[in-house]
Amino acid sequence: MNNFKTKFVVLKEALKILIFFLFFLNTTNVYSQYENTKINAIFSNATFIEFVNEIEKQANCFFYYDKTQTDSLKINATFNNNTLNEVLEYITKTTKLKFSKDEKNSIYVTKNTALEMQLPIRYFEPTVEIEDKSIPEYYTPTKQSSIKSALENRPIDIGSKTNVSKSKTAKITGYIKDEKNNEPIIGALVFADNTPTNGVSTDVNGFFTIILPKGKHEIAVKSIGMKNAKRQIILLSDGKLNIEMKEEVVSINEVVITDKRASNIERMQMGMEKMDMKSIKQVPTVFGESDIVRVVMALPGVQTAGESSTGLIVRGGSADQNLILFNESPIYNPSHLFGFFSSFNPDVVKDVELFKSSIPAEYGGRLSSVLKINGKDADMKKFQGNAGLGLLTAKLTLEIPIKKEKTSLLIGGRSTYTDFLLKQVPLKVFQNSSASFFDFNAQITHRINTKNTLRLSAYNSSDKFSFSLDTQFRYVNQSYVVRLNSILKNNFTSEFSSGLSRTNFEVVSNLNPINAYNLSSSILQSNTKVDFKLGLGHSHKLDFGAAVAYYAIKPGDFAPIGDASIAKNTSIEPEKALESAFYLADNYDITPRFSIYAGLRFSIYNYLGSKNVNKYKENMPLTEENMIGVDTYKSGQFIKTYAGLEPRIALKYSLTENTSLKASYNRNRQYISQLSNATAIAPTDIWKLSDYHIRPQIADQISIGLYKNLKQNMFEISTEIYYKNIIDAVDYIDGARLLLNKTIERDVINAHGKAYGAEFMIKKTQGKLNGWVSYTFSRSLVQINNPTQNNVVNNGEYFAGNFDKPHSLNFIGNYKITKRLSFSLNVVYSTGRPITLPNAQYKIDGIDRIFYSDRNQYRIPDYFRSDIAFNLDGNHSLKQKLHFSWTLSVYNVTGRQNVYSIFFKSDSNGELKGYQMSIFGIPIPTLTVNCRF
Amino acid sequence: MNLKNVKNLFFLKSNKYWKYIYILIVFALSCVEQYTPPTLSNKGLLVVNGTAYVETGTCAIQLTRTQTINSKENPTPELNADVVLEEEFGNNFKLNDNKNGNYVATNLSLSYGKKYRLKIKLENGKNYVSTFLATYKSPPIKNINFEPSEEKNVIGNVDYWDINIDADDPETRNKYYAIDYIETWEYRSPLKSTIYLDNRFGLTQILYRDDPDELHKCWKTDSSKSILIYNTLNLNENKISEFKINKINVSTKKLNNAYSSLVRLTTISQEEYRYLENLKKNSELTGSIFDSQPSKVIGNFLNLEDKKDNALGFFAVHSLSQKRTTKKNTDLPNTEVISIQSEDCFPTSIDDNQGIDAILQGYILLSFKIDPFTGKIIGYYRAQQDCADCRLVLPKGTNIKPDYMP
Repeated sequence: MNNFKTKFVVLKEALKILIFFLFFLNTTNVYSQYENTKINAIFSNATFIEFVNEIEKQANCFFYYDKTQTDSLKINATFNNNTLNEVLEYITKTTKLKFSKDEKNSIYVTKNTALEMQLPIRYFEPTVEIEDKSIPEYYTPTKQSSIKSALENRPIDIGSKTNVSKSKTAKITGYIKDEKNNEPIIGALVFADNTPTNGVSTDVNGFFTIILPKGKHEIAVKSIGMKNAKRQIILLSDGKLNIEMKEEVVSINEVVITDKRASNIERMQMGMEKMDMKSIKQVPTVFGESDIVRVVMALPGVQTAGESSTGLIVRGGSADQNLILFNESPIYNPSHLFGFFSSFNPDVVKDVELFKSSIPAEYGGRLSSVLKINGKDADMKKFQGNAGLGLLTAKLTLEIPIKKEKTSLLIGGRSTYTDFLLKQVPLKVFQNSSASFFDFNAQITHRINTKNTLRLSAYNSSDKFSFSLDTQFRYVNQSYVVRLNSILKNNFTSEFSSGLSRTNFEVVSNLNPINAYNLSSSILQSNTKVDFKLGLGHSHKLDFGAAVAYYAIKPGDFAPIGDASIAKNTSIEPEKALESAFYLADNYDITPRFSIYAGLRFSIYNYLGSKNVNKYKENMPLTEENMIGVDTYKSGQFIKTYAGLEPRIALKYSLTENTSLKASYNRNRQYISQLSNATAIAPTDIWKLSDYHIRPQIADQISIGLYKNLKQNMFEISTEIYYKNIIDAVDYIDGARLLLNKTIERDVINAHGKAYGAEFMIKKTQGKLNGWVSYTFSRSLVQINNPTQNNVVNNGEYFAGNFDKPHSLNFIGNYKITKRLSFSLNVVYSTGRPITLPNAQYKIDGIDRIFYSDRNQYRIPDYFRSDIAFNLDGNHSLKQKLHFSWTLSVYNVTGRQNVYSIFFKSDSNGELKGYQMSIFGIPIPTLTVNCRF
Repeated sequence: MNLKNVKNLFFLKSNKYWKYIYILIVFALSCVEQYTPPTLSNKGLLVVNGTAYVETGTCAIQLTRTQTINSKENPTPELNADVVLEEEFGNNFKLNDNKNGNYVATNLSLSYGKKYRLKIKLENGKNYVSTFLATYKSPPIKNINFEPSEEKNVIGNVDYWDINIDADDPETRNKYYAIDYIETWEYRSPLKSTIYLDNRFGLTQILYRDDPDELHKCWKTDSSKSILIYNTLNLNENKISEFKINKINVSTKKLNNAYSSLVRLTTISQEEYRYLENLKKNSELTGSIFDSQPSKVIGNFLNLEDKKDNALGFFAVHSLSQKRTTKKNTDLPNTEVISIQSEDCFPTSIDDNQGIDAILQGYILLSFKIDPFTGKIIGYYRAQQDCADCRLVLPKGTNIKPDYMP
């Protein structure tokens, strides 16, 4: 057994080859001179198993084979004092089986091609030291998977010898999938012969196409959260290769092959981050709810609008300048419970991508960033579920295969029981308050055939809260999408998506029956988009497509409730618009080191009737006095058209194998913005389309970045600098009224903005300790200087924007104490945001009043917070039906009372007092239990 | 690079990591600190406070200067200014300088519908002028309602009373209103003084008070402390219905005896409404999570020579509509009379032969101390002045009964 153990140690070097080696353990390791053994046997219509059993007995050797390949074989032969070699040669001649022997008496049986007994030399090079000599408790090898793993080192023929074209190269196409649930792995890097520079990425279906010279290659696949996979291939002609990858199992002693260059160096995009749910779930959050958006906020260049807001501030742009896509459908108000956390259930999300510097040409319509949240496909093989119980929410997710390998259904729901908790507080204020929300997700994934996959997704989130019994706030987000992913040809794929998104809010007041009212506002967007990806030759990858979005906004409807109410039906005219875009982009690898991405997006925006538009004297302030009339437009009539080109250019130059330099230029146009005069985004903030008076916002951004990986990609270091110029940013006059304002054009003004900064990040991706440290220096400035419109703020000089936080430092770390227990720490520091402080006080009718001067001339104190969490995983045994995990987290462990806002208020005696408000000024401990089944 | 090196790099050799986690946490804990707002310079802007009323024909203006934030001193008055009320295409009325920054004119003949403005010339030569604004007739107040709180305490008493008003304004097309009120309530001193020391005519004698409640019953008058504005833009009728203007907690003792409120309703222009709304946003409607950003609120005064120089305040000639309501405690059902007893207030006895002057420093006589057997005066009871003189008891009102109080 000693032998057994020492051998087993070797197994731990790579999970991928673990099963392969398990074979050695099941056999007795006796060396014998089998060459000299004589074999005497008669096989008449014998099965391969019978043959093997007999030969093994006589020659004292061991066969390894795939039953499926040998099942159908019948062996007819007579051996009389033949050597083993002679026997095998004979079988080779009569069947297509090939035999490979090693010095340990093992014989590997393959079809067509013999197994190369010399493993690739580099294979064992990145060996990791073995720490734990015990057998991993959870892994029970099966023969099936062992053969699968054996494939890693056994050469596979691609194409056929008979169908030989004259071309020196051949094309390999195939799918990269998750072994566990057959889900496609998106964005995996597929490359050959250790040259990731020549690699390709898989698309949304996990599909890839790679062109290689004919001959022997080693194909490797890398993807986040998955163990690297590889295949030895012999490329004969165009052919297929599907590879199933294994999830990187965290709790087992990790074995990582770290000699490959990682995708952050390779990929074209800069300022792009991709995170899987595993790393997101490690991060401690308030109330223990894993929150995608909160983790994104810890990335360099991303900040929060405030403690109670999931509004993202990316490189100084306001929260509405981010395109948040959930399954390709825009979500307008992704927050729950006044904005304390985001409305995406982490259990139905696969991964998250953030683009902040170079936004691919296929996306448009927002200035600052694209946050792409990709939902999960349900497991096609077996039923699975996930349940969780936290301080605020209970959740359940089910993955149901409807037709094996063909159709599956994912449903997930999350709901609060805060109402119940509030009722337990023995204070009337709480008992009269209520706050509840839920979100629901469903997705059907259907593989029509090997080339077409259809997905139907639905998303619904709803919030309801009231602080007293009489006034209630409600808001709802919904989205429904159909997506069809197709492979048109081997190197030509398409994605078609069409969907509806809707968001609305409602305020209901029953306080006084005489003026009881209902105020509501909604936005409906339908969009259709088609994207094509075409590989041209070895070095060109074309992306092209088109998108159309139709917007219908009801800015505000005010209606009476009940017969007694004299509230007047007030309705702000609905707004409609059409936004169309076409794009074409080429990813061109000029040399293996130098690549260029050149994209061009053209967008046209039509503001549509029917609508009455107020007209004013030209070049005069938009005031009542200057109004000259009202123009009436018919339904569907173009009131105003804006159009423009949006170039998207990115360059990448690999300085060394581990270092690359990137640069990008981007222009983005935004035709819809959220009107918010508050510090944080409120759920009642309305959205406004660019119209006759309010022009679209346009941003130009230049970024330069340097990326370097150290220690076999264990550390990823990146730095980026950027400069952004925003034309016609949306801003407001002092004391603007945004709700139910029929002359909103008088209160909204176009400002000029600029932002610049530098971002640094060190990320450790592997090992017991992983996580990142990021530092961002950023400025975001606004100028409002339009004397002809009577709009001059701060004397027309540049002033700090509302979210200008020059310094920010984030640390996110996770340390694995044991296989099952890990510790996470989260540290956040940032400069306080700018505020307008009063200059003076005065008395009017005996009441103290304050005089505020110039905008944003002071700052609230700096923000500092640290959170900790302990994550304990239950037993990993595969036999166990339920897998529990516990998370104990403490949000704001230091209890620092971070100032959220400073305000001055006259008290009941009319005396002026200054106050500072902090949210979550005490440590908030939470215990969350999750259960997977 | 193997795992061992990584460990060394992060100082995380076995057993040691706890120490570093600990250090991290302690480091984090030391980061709690207090906020102190920066001191801002005092620009000393001119503040114009006051109005004119059509009905009374009076105009009273107070000119002061702004102060630094949290200043406890009284505002500096602006002296020796020329203040003129100007009617568009009409008369000018010069206001009298009543000193201390107060400028007053009476017996003015003002009319509804006309436009007026205020012109101010300061001693330093600077000129400010308000915009011409029309005068609107204010509608009468129909009702002043007292609504008890819905929730009652264990013995069935109400916690507070809401005061709201109703008004109909079918005539005017204007839809903006400002409301304020002056409230008066009766309160009592915890102890009652029925005798007093009379030093007239060189004699020291102790006499019964003519009115035993002389220092026991007092009345406090105060004005509303918040901006109350209302608009009927969202209503089909120009009607103010149950507009809440005040909430009186029973625990404030304002409803212990008698309570009176004079409510004033003024129709204002859209400009003035905007001004008051922004003023309110800046200083009253703050502190919630979704506050709007504070803004620069100036008013309707302009310095014609220097546009960057601002004077704060809003001037318009108003029409006054007022209504008084008075309630006794017994008019308000389920309203508890809150005890006025105080732990600090108790009578102490003194003997007759002690020098009375010496012991009355800061004290007040309550009543005679009488021998229960002989019926003779054997001394006095006294208490601290702020226990038995209602004028010194919070909220420090007057003991002269206003004629509208019961």
